[in-house]
Amino acid sequence: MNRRVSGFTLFETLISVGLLSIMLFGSVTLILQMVIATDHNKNVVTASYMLQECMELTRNFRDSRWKQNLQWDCGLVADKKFRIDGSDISEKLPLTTDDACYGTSFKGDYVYLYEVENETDEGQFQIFWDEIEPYFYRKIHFTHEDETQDKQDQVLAHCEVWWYERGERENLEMSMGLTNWHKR
Amino acid sequence: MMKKNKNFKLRRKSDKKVLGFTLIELLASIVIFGIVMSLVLGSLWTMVKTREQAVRFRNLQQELHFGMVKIADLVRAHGIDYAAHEKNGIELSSDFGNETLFLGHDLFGSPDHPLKLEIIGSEDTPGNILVSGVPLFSEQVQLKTDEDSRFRDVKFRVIPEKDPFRNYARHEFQLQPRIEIYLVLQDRLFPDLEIPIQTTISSRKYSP
Repeated sequence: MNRRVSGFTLFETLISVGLLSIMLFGSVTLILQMVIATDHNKNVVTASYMLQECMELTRNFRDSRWKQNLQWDCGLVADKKFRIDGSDISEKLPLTTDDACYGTSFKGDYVYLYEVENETDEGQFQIFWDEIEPYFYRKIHFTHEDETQDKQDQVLAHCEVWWYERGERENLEMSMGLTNWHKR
Repeated sequence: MMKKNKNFKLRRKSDKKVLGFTLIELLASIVIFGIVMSLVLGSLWTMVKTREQAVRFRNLQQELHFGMVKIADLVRAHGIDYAAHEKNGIELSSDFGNETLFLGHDLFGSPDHPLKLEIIGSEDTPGNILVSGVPLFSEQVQLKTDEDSRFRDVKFRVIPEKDPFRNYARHEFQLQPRIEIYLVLQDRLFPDLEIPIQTTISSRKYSP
């Protein structure tokens, strides 16, 4: 057998295939990372607006009750978890809370706070909107400042929005102090 | 003479010591090179596209943010301009046709350039107002940074329906005004690239 026949050895072939795969793998990973980053940013933008909405709805909830001469923090019950929705959805869903503020004393369009008793039931917190993936979930709860001090006119609202991205839970949180700014 | 003969011998195919490529080898290598290059160029192309998408996404985001900040400023500072939409005969809860909702007049200090949302809808879905292919901001106000995006879908609802400061007798209108907005901003070049948002802005105006 003539040992001088030109051609590649197995070793050379392996090296070249290895180099090629490293090159391709590098660029593919880069592309994948960029796609993932864009996707994540998109969801963060969407979630941040939902978070903002959560705070605005809470504010509106307080202000509308104030406008109708109800107690300013009516409905902002401490140590309970709520889903908060605007008026559009409220027409489709039954009222589940028996808070005094939801009675006949309040007229007009509602911002609804739905009490969620079983927190592990995630679906209870889902935001309803069409055609949009992933699904977003929103939870709000309130803490009242120490009432023995000069803080009875303050309620802290804590809102969280979360969603799932490739199986991972992502979330955004925000807290806001609501005060009885217009005492009477 | 001897040397020349030797050189001539080297080129003969039957001699196994000949160095060089045959046509087949050359063709094979060209084909392999072509395959490799197409893979590399393909992934490079995808990278360029992905990068472009990321850049365009940032533009979309900025545009959206800019627009929403303007709407928020307007609604918070000035409330909902009920007088304007009453003047234009716009019902907010029924009979949606091709109409325009004026949210306010003094966004840019001129009544000629109001912020507007053009709406299409039906009686069945009050508050579900669709806008397709209509830029939220007209060109005159220069809010849009480029022409490469559009609002694919816009739904909004103003609550309450009547000015709470002018309807004291009607208890159901005694609500703090707010606007609920749902919209999808879409890129023209990459239609898959879209940002859906849902938000509410509550007015901070507490007196007429």
